[in-house]
Amino acid sequence: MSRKLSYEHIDKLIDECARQSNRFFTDGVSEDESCFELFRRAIVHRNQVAWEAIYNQYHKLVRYWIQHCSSAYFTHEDDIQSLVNATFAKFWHSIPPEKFDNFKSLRALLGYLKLCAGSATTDRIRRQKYQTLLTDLEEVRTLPSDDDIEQSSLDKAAREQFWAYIQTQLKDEDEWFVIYHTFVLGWKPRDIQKEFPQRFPDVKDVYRVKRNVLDRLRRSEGMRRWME
Amino acid sequence: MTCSFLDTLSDVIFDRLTSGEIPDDVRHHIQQCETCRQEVEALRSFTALAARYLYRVTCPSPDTLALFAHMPTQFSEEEQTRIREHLETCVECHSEYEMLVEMMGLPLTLPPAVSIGETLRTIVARLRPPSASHNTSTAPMALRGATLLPEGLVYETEDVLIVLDLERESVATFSLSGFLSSKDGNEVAFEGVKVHLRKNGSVLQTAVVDEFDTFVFSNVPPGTYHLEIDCADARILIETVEVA
Repeated sequence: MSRKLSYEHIDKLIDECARQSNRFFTDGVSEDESCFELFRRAIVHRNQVAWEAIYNQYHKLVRYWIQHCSSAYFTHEDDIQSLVNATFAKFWHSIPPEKFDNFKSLRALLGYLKLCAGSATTDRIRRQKYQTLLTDLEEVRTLPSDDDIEQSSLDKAAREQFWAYIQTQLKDEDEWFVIYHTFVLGWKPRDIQKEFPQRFPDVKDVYRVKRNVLDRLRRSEGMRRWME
Repeated sequence: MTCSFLDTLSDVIFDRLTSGEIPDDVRHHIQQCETCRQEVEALRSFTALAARYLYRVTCPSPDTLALFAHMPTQFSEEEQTRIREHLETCVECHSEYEMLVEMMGLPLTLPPAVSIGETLRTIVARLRPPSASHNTSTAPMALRGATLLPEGLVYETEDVLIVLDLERESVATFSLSGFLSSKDGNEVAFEGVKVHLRKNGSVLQTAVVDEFDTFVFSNVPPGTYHLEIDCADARILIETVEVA
């Protein structure tokens, strides 16, 4: 009888996956079939019980990946838990049933789960900095939701065109440095001066360059079209 | 009608106008002058638009960066070169990429639990008796260089004194701060040492000791915790910290 058939009952499958995972810790060996089958049922059949079992089985592993690498950015328990959840949500949405066959082993699935953890963590780091930038401009008071983040909601091509246009209006490297670090990376004038002290010996130099560019841009015809 | 008022402002004040941080004298003029009001409005609209459109516009997306850290060969040689060149110039992406490379290098299984003490010498700090606390000549504590803490609970190991202080932040939360010093009065740099606030074995918050040898945990709900202080050669444990 095939092993798949013997896992007819999901409870049995869940127990076997947990047993094999524990076996790995004690003996250093395990059979991946039951855990792989659990993933298959969760993804291909959209089986909620299987999905919850996967979360229970692997959330500590995801937490370990995130906590180990992102302590410089996130220390609060709420942040870490939210990132663990975001990782599983990303994994779930990224693999439609028809794509499950692309994964040939449990190792491949867990590798992809880790990729989702990395992407979710990077996305959150950017979103936090973006929030700070907008808050400084009094644009928002709350963390933008995943849908709000401009990287996904604004048309990428339009953003690139806008950046291309801005660059045509810059007269020298100093102006490019100030505008790039101010708007693309979200840095403050003092951060720019600290990073490039030879180019900008005083923070006032950054303010001066920024003002010149802003003055020019807000008066330019091309910019008015963008503003409309 | 034109007005040259904005041209008379310093570059710093001009910059503040973009974030709505308008000094009173400037605000007064802007309220009276339609031309300047429109100019400031246009300036702020432009700044907001630029922030919304340009933020990380040139950077690889989080998905791309994670995949590149995991398996760069998934990209064409041309794409690999483009991403590598970007990483050489973009400080933000570079630091995200380093974090991702570290994460991608982690095993696909949880490491076996290591009992405290196996890898580091562990010292349990004891609460110093009140009489000893009162006689102590610990250095005054400058919290973030600003506030003098009242004397709190004093814990000690053979070499280190740890003073903890609790302050109510809100109805439901406290701030737990601490100060580390050498018992023999020698200058020991604790700056950069990590302090973990744990509950039921899980790390809830990690604080880093600042240049004044202090650390702070905010938003701590009432409960029983323990603290771990990761010194270079030993881990100091305070087994029970009651927050109430």
